[in-house]
Parts: sequence; structure tokens; C-alpha cells
Amino acid sequence: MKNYDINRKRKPLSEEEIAQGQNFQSFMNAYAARPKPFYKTTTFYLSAAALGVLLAVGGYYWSTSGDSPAAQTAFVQAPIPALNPSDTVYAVDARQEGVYYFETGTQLTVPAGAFLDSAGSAVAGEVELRYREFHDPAAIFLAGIPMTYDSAGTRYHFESAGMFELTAYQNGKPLRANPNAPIKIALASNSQEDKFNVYYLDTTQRNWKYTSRDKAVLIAMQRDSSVALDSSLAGAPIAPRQADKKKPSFSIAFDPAEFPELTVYIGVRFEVDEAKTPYNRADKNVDWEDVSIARNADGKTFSVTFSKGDLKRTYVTYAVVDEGNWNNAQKTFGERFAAWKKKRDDKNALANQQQKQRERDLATADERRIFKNREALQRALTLRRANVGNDQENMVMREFVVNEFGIWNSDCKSSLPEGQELVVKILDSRSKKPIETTHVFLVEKGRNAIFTYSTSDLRTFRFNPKSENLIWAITADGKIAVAHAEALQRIAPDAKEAEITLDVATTTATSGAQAFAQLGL
Amino acid sequence: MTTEQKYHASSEQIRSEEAEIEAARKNPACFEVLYNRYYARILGFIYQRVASKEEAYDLTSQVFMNALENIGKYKAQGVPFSAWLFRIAINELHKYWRKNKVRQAISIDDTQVGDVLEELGEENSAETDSKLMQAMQQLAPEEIQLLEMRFFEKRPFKEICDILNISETACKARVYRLCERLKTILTSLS
Repeated sequence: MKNYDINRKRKPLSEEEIAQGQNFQSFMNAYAARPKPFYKTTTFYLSAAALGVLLAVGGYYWSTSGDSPAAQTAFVQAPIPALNPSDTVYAVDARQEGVYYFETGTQLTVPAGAFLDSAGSAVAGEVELRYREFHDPAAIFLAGIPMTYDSAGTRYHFESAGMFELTAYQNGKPLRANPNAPIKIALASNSQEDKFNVYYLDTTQRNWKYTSRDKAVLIAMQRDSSVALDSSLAGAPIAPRQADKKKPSFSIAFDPAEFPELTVYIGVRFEVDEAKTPYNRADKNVDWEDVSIARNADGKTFSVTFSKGDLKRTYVTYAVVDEGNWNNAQKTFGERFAAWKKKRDDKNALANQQQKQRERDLATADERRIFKNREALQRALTLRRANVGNDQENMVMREFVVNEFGIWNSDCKSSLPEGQELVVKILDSRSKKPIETTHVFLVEKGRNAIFTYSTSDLRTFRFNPKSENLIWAITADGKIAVAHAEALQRIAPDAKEAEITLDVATTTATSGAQAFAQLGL
Repeated sequence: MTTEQKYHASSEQIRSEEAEIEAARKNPACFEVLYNRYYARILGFIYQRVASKEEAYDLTSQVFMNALENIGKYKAQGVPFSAWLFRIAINELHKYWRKNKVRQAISIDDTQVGDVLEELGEENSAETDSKLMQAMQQLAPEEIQLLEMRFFEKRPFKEICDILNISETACKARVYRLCERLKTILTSLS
């Protein structure tokens, strides 16, 4: 007798599969189009009309209200407001596409028309785009961002591969993102793992909302940064000028290695350009001790400087050839110039070919998608190198399509650490009295995760004794309290309960660096 | 991966949800908050009991359709909104099995089988595993429902009581009787 079909290997639905069915707009369309009961009456129609009005009005308010700053601060609340990581502000022209860079190498691509006002109309003029990133537990903790996630009634804790907050304002008023022209963020991530999903913090639902699978794009850090073509070539022969017998000129010995362009001519002289430097006839009677030649920036003239003691005289000159050598010089120039031109053209052709190859090399599908051109990639790489040094082999970019302003996170879900479970009391190490706090936060060094325990959760406190653990809390008077790794290492492996003492900072931290130190980092 | 089943709401959360329900009564567009909060849980619940994803999507949509239509009739009275949704889901499932003349699906993995056998004081072996599968075929739908909620989904007694609208004492007694009945069937199969 078989009454039931028993599935032994059915996997739970993935987040993508859940998201596939979860669409409130479709649901409401189906709800509006559901079959009507046969007992329809005028009253029913009137009620339906009223419902329609309600929907329209409600929908309008729903679509235009957005998240009020008050709602956001209620759910995302920095424990010490003064230490809340600050935003970087970009002044953006709302009608122009623009690409902006954050200090970590992150690239923000803002299309034209990316901003809407509260009425849903496109915004023109200058917009204040505010951006900040979170890459470590301390920054996340100080920003007060919740890192727990309720999915299908189960509470998980997030481990992050990088998180950011993006908001926009005009004249102090918050703007909404235009979902039809979304801002794209290529987030420079510190994790190379490919196990993360993209979540948006829905402050109305007070929960993270799964949006898509995350994809880590690896960009090789060690790239040849030279891109400029060498269009000039040193040593280009100079066209000969015939000497003018009426103008003063000098015959000077020069270093052929220094002036190869002059070695092709026999009987080269330096003729004074009297329009620039009038010749002093008395100079020809001076017994000069030294003479030097310098090529001028125009590429045609040479400055000849004579000196004797403190006396110096400089003339702008042309290299010229006397009449007897003129024909020969012209012929030589023709040959030399043709040879030089061929060499230059060959070199430029090779450089062009190399450049195109470099463009092909960089233009993987991922890179083409993220970076518009090589310069954009180069800029991101330069910032990344400045941020993390040159040791890192790859830059990892994680892509986000921002259709709502707020906090976006590349995360993977994890449960509380496996290991010892016990009942704990959190005490002040000095007074030995319980610390008045609503939550304590467990951090495993080396993991970008914060495990949040409410005070009632402390009856089933779990931690991994093999990890280097820290416990953080904020006291009622806004001071940071920390239990360092040793405090947890002292707990006996078979203990069922324990008192964990936290060192409460004697002063309230006033800077990020001070807070980091107090947090034991 | 171990998980924590959560069936607890602070008084502040309950009050906040009551306000959301009240808003949805006045304006169906406000139902979105509740829809998004419970969609995955209801879908997961239904998916474990039907043959395919597509059926699960349809039934889940029907559950929320019924909920929105009847939200005016919902009275909190200490029962969470989620329990009310699960009740609707159970009703929809029964209607679906009856109307389509299909067998109820039961989804169970090796760990859950091990947990049930442990609860029954039986050794976890291929033989007892097979017998448990046979024993389950002899259970009534109400017993399967209890088995699923208590042992497969590991719901707290309080939540099961809220969903089935029975007292905690009655719930515990039913679970006890279920275990005894399973033990008897397993013995008879030996």
C-alpha cells in the first residue's frame, strides 16, 4: 500500500528559485484579475472601485515615499555616532554619464538620468553622490550594520566579501535611484572566493534581500602601464641650410655622439640668427676659453655659448653648410632622412601592433564589461596598488547594479561557529559586574563576519575554540568593551557555563584609529 | 550546517506586525511587507509536500491570495500571522491533493531519518531506514503532518500548536502517540 510519494534526495529551494516565484507586482496583478464571485452586485462594484482607488493612492504613496532617513537610522544605527565611517562625496552632473573612483580601486559608473526625485521625476543639475565601503568587522561594527539574515524562518550570520553604501542628495533632499538607468559599482574586494551572493539591506523589511548570485572577476594586478606611442625618434637629421656669407658663423668641433644629426654633413658651421641674438663684432677678437653647444627646443637651432672667466656670450645659431659642400649635403640629407623615416615608421607600426595586442589582452569579456577603456582599468589598478601594495597578484572586482540606494553586500550565509556551546555571563573586568548592553558581538580574526548575540542568546553561546576570537560590546555610556582572545582561551573545553570579562575602555573613542585600537585590532 | 529554528517575536515585533496587517487591510498594496517576509517560508513548506516547483509556486500564490482576501477576518489573539498563513497553506494542500487525486509528497533526507530513528530508540541502519519508509506509508495524513512539522522541520511545540490550533498538551500527547504508533509498526514489520 502506497499512500505517499517519499522523496529522499530533494534539495531545499535555492535563493534563485525562491526569488523566481517571489514577485509582489505579479501577485497583485493576479489578485486584481482573480475570478469574481457570481453574486456580484452594485455594492461589490462600488467596493472594488474603492479598492482600486485605495490601490492607486496606496501604490502612489508606496512608490514615492521611499525610505525615510529616520527608518534607516532605526535599523542601521552606529553604536558610537562619532565613529560612524564617513562618506566620500562625489559631485555628479545628473544629466551626464560619469565614471568615478573610490580609494580602494572601486569604480562607480553613473549613467545619465540615474537619479529621481521623490515624485519619480528625473533630476537635473548637480547631485551629491555619497559613498562608503566596509571591508572589515570593525568598520561594519562601527557603522552599526546588522549582519544577521532571516531566511525562511532560519537565522543566519553573514560573512562579507565587501559591502558599500550609496546614497544621493540634491539640496539636502534624498534622491531615489532610477531603476531604468542604474548605477553600476565594480567593488574592489579583498576576497578572491566565489561563494558569495548579492544582498540589499531592506530597511523597511528589516532584513537583507537576496538579489543575485555574485561573481568575482579577477583582474591581474601586474600590468604593463606604458601605453603612449613613441611618435618621435631622437637623432632625426636636420635639413641642411646653405651658409650666408654675409652672416657671422663659427666652425666648432662637437661631439658626434651628442649631435648625430650634424655628423652627416661635411664642413658644418654655426651661423648666428641675428634676429634673435645680434652679433657683437668685438667678440671675434676675444680669446675664448670655452665653448658649448646645446640643441634648442625648436629642433632647428642650437645655442652656442662662449665663455672666458665671468664673461659669457650666447648666440642662437643654425647649422649650415658652405657652398662647396652644399650639393653633397643635400644628397646626404635625402638618404639619411629616408632611412630615419623608415626606422621611425617601423617603430611606430610595431608600437601600434603592441598597443592593439595589449588592448586585446586586457579586453576579456569581464574587463570589457567593467572598464570602458584601458585608462579606466589603469586608474582602478593604480588606486588598488596604492591601497593594498604591489604584493597582491589579482584585483577582485564584484559587480553590483544599484537599482535602489542603500547598503549592498556581497555575502555568504553562515551559521554560528561550530565548537563549544555554553551559558555565558558578560562581566566588566574591573568591577566584575554584568555589563549593561543589549548585544555582544563575536568576531573570529581572519573572517569578515560578526556573530551577533542578544543577551538572551547568551544561554547558548557558541564559539570555535580553535579560532582567535574577540568579543565586542558597547556599554550603556557608549564605551567600547572587549574580551581578547585569551579570555576565551581560558574557558575549559568541557565547561557548560563561563563568565567572560570584558575590558571596558576608560575613555570614549573619538577617532577611527582609537576605536580600532580599543577593539583589539 | 546546523541551523537555529526561530519562533519567537518580541512584543515590539508583534505590535509592529499588527500595524502592518492593519495597513494591509486598509490598503492591499501594504500587503507587500508581509508577502515578502513570509514568501520563502510558505513556499518551502509547500515545496516539501508537492511533486514539483511549479506546483509549489502556484499553491504559494494561492495561499497569499486567500490571505489577502481574508485579511479582514484575521484576529491576532496571540497567534502570529505566520501560523495563520501555515494554516491556510495546509488547507490549500489538502484541497490540492483531493481535487487533483495526487498522492501527498514527503521530502526527507538521511539526517532526518536518523533523527526520527534516534527519537524512536532504533538503530540507524539500512534495514530500519527501509522499515521506517514502510511505516510512514501506514500513517494517517494528520500523523504525517505532525511527523513532518515536529521531526523533519523541527518546529517548536508552540508553533505547531499555533498552526494546528490545538493546545500544547494536546500537541505533546499527539506526538507521543505518533511515536508509539511508529514503534508498534516497526515492531510488526520485524
